[in-house]
Amino acid sequence: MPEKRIVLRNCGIVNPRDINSYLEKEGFKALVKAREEMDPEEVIQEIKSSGLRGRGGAGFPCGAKWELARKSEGQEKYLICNADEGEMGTFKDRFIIQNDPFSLVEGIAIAAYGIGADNAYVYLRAEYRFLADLIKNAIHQAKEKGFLGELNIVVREGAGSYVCGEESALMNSIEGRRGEARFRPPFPPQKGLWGKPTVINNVETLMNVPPIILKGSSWFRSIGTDESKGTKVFSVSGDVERPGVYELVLGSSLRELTVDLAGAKNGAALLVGGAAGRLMPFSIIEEPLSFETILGAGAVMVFDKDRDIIEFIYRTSEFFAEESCGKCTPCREGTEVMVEILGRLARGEGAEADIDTLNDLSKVMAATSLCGLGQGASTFLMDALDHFRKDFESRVDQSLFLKRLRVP
Amino acid sequence: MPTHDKVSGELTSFLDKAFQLKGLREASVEKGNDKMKEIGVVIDGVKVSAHEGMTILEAAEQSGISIPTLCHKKGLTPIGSCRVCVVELEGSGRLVGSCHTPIEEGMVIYTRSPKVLEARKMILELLLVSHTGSCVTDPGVAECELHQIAAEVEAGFPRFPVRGPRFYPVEELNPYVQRDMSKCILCYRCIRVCTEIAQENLYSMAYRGFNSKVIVDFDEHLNKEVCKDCGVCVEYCPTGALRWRGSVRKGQAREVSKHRIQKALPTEDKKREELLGMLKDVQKSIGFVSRESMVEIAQSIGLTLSEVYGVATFYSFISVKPMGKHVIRICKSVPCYLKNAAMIIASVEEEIGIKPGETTEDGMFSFELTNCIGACDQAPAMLVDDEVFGNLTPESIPKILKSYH
Repeated sequence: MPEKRIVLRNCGIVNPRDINSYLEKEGFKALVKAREEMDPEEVIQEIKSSGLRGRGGAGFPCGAKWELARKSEGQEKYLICNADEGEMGTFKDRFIIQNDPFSLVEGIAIAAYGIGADNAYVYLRAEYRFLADLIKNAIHQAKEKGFLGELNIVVREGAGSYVCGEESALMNSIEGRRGEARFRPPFPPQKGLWGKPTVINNVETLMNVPPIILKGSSWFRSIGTDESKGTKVFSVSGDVERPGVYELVLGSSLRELTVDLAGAKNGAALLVGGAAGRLMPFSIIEEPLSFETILGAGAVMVFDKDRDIIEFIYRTSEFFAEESCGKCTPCREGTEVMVEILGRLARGEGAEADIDTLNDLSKVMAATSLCGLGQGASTFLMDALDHFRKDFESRVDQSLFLKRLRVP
Repeated sequence: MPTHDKVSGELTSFLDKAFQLKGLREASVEKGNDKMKEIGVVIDGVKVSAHEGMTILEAAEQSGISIPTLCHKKGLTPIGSCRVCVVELEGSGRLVGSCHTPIEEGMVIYTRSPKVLEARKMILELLLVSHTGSCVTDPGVAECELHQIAAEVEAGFPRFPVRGPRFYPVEELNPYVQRDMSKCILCYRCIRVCTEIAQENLYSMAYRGFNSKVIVDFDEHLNKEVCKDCGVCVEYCPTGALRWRGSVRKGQAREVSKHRIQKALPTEDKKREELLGMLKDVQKSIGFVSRESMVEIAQSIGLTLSEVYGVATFYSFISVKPMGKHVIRICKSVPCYLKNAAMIIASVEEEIGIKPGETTEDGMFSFELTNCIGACDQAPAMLVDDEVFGNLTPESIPKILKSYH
């Protein structure tokens, strides 16, 4: 399936600092259409029938989320645009904001109209501070042109924390708290920011909203697979000739993305969806990229055959341990135990029993962690053990052999 | 310890009053409310009828089924952090915390399925392995809830080690309460009891991940200027991390306690929203957030110093120690690592003569390694303050860094 530009349609075409260039490309027409020709319920219905699902990794149906929030009790509601993009190997949202902040503002305005929110936040990771002015400028220009009405959009900057991309931690961070995960239920559309109904959507999800409103849900539904409508923006990095951002129709194969477009030559393994994604042998490249199969937030990292896969698994476990919020036991202590064991295995000081321990640990972390970080760490570990167990075992054998040599 | 028990008894009755005053949810459930809908659930094969709004734990307890809990204690807002009380729900792959999950009509709950028991055992092992303190030789261990639950779920010696268990010196500055944070299992009970019942807000969780620690003020030892002697936290601590020192004059304890519960509950203030921005502003202007500036911020938005410190130390872009004028952050995550980030790290070390985690003597640069900065298409990459530099080579480093002089 081909590359297709829906989300990135204006990237490189409009001037990200000038609203007039955006207006020339049908900018804000969808917002005007939504406000003037549609009830909020109709907007939600349109998004629901389009089949749009969240692009941040979890893939929750977007319209259903909006509807939940709209129907929740209370006048005060919030919309949060998640621009925290901390997932290892992901940079698509950075690219989107750098090139087309106006579409994002329009998407936010339509979503806020749909759910009935007067206040919206853009939560931007601290590492993307250089994008804050671009977004603020886009909001300012849209406001000046009268597109935002009473809607108040605030850019809130993070302060260095991966877990704040997790929706419940993100809300705590906006509230001026530690970015710790919250237990669910209640879910954000019921009780979110300051206990009010809140919708949290990824940048890319909101970018899809204006074209859906303008061209209709049946147009959008005609693109993609049964369960995965539209396109997906991918961030490709690692051992490829052309790392970068690519937008493909959902259902395109990993081969099209990694080999044909990005130029992977000698792949041995793939990490799809970032650290909290899936670690797979390169042999899966004929698989389609979709919610039904494998997708995540759209980060795809390629590892060549000459890479030390155990070293990479160890480094990724360090990433989880450093970024765990520390609230729940399985994640706080479990990621630390992961690092200890994987470190020994990587150094050739591991034993067969360590592999079984990791296996038991990952199951418990998956079942009991409070949020996606602990669960993601365990998925990663399970994949590593499922697909690269041989690498672990040969490392253990090797270390036993060396030990025997050392003993006189 | 007879004195201890007496104080404990006094406190129990005082706490009961406190709950009534606060009108906690538990209390209202116990009293029974006619408007509440009856809900039918099945727990361990037994049909149970309970009120809408009850948690799984409450419904189970009501029908005589006990579920071990650690972070949860009656009278405190559930936090669901320890995961000891997890149960299995039919049709759900994951386990849910029973202390915070409300019951729903038709739920089929297993509190002792093989999956639950295995998880509980592992969680106890995880809690046991990372805290230090001489529990085994400690006469107070009989009162340690962690060990009691560990015995109950038959968690043996942990099957894994950690790199370095948490260890802190014992805090003995306060004449009444002794803190031994090496025994702390980070259950958040003292934090919640100090906020919700004593209404003092002295404790806060600080740092993050494995380094998390319950702190006072600017991570200082508990002293009598800060904490008087109400000691509610001692009664709530499940381990020996918080203890009475010597004998406590109970009259005094009650006086202070009474005074405390008469205070108004702290209101949820949206002013708090500004906290992160304020901390970042101070960080930008003086290169770190000092104790003095934290006190100022805390006063201006009505928080305690502990709370501000807890928030500040969670985020990696905020430092409580002086930093250089410019901060170099090299990405060490996998995409950059694959593209030889190690060589860039070495070049920076050579250029400015310091290792990651250090600051140059002239105060010009601080050097840190960081996780993914979202510039993987330009790997290896680094941030100098807010500016991204990508496609780095060892040769490009001197030029970039010189431009900051």
